[in-house]
Amino acid sequence: MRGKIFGVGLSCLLVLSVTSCKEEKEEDNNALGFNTTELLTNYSSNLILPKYEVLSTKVAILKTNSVAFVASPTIANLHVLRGSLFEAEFAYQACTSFEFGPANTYSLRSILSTYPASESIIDQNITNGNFNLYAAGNIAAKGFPAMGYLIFGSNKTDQEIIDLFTIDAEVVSRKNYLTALVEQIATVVNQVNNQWVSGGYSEVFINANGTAVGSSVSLILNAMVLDFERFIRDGKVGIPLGIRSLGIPNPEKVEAHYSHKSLELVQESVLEYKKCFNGISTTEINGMGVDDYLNYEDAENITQKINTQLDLITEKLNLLNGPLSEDVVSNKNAVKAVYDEMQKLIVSLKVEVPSALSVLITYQDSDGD
Amino acid sequence: MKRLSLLLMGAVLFASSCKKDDPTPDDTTPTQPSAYSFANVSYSGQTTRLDMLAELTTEMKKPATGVAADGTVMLNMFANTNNPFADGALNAATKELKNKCYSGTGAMSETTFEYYMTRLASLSAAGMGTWMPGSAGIATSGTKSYYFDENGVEYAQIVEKGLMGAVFYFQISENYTREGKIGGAVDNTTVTEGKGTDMEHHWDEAFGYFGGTVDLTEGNYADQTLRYHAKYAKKGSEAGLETVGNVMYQFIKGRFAISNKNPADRDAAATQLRKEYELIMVTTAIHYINGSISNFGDDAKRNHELSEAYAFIASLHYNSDKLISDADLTQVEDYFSEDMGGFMVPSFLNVSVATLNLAKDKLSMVYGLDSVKDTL
Repeated sequence: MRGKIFGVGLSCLLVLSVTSCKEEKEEDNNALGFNTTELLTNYSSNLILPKYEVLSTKVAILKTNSVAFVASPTIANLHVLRGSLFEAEFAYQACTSFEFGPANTYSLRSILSTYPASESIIDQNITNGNFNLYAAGNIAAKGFPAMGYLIFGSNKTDQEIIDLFTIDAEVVSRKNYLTALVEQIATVVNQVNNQWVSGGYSEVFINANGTAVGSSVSLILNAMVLDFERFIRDGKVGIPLGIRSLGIPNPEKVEAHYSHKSLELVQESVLEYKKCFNGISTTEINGMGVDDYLNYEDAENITQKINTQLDLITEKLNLLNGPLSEDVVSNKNAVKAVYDEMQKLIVSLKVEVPSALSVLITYQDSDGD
Repeated sequence: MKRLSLLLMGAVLFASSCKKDDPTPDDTTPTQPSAYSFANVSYSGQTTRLDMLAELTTEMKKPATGVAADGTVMLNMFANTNNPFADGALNAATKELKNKCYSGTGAMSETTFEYYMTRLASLSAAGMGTWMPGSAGIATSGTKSYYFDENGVEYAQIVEKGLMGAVFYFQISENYTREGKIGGAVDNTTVTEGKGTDMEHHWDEAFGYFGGTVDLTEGNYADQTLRYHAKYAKKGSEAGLETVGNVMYQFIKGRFAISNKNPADRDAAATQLRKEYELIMVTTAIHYINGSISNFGDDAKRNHELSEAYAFIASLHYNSDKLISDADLTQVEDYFSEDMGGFMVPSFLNVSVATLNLAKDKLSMVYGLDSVKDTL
């Protein structure tokens, strides 16, 4: 469906381009319309930058605690490390809708949060002691999920984990691997954060106004819709539930499989999604967001529908018992209810919002193969 | 009557449009039409080959659905022997893909494609497990499934997009737009009803390989049924490069020049057509590199998009006038390849976001696409 034109503005552009020359094909800067600069400034200054800063801080703590654990693998240090892993993952939920620009350049999501982790590849890497964590072949052997595998393991007692870091034959290699994982997470988070803070991307982002393909409004909306459809609905809920596998659940495919914190993470991601949609800052100030843009275009009904629907999803999530890996097996209908409400939201996000704002959803490949 | 009105429409469009090469229209000078609408246009042989590639691709995608691909069938489809096609008209046709395929060295040739067909058959016959780095199998993302070799390479894409390069693009850029087919020695006087002059027919055959429609324009591409390169030309147009319009313009200009006995315009169109057509490969390659970066964490999408990107990049070899140097092209290809005992084969396990960005930056720099490289 790429290339389908929504809204009057873009249709005009298209007609123009048929009968005229390149010179006349100017972007609509919304000079007299909605002030996208204010919207982009709010997203940049009050949402994206502070959220990346929190993530950076949490990842720095994670790294410190990992260093401490590697130096002294005690049960107490293990628990501290586990706690900081959860906090970093939790902070990341607020950033998943910003996978464009620097996050896309450094592939933040794929490095932090590709799951499920491949135990066999991780084990193999530890045994070999020679690996490139950036290589595509190691995509399922890094980030938070791989850390989860190393410090929680599959059905392991605390002492069994400690043994793996103290008396096991591969202690040195395992410690090195854990260190490499956290180093990579910290490196990439810092690279992305620095691009926003001092690398000039904030300015690029704020200045790319209008709604054409490549504009910041288009980037953020595409990233938001993609985030919800593919990573929140499918990744966190649908795939573990078995939506893509003939109804057969895949409990091992939940986000934080080893720590059993998947439910908390999806709950947080939906709450953060709502804040992102409404332009609510980390200090809870309701600034200019996608909601205001919709309202400006006389689409208050869409705003309302999305907010109601997000609340309903949270309600349904709150009915689950957790961990999600058990709910998808023993409490399937309740998880299906979450999925169904998420599915309803997709229609608003993917069809109604782009249409109201004349933004193309471009992330779906059009060639059908 | 119909032709006249089309011509008039063309004139109106022209009057209100681009200044770049606006001839001074008068009552006696025919005006270049805005569509590929000429007398005696015929390219059924090309359409036949396009259809053959479609059936071959269908066979190659079977492993993604859990069914082994048949090696003999694929090879027969390539050479059109032993009636392999479901469409009887293709079996009956005297055309084939293989004898039009690049057969030299330094780029994927007919031997390379046959190797991929044979290997796909043996791999898929041996097993249909889930793909993992190092073991061939099926990877799924959403509703899409793909079959990859142990290095993440999707042979269906390498062969389909590769043959688009090694047959369609190669025939256009090295055969039908060159001296031997449109040069002074070629008959441009004797009109065969339905086929035009020899020279007209040769140019039409080039157009036939494009996969577009005669009415295709920059303004209507979203509504047209496009195949192969014409379909991928949309990637550039969607990023604002007007790739579809530019390619169509040169096809129309060349045919118009041939029919109006204007060798200078014909040769200019031939040269420019190859340049515009080359951009289809490059913009599509960058598009898929971008996709593979965005989908880096998704084995199915990443490998699929890398396979597409690789095949479009490799297609650049089939034009001897290509803008990119051999050294640069080799450098870009190497980001997607591994040395398998003396020769490079596509392999995507060691690809990283950093190397993908290097490949993308090199292509966009060489082709002057820096301003749109992130939009493609």
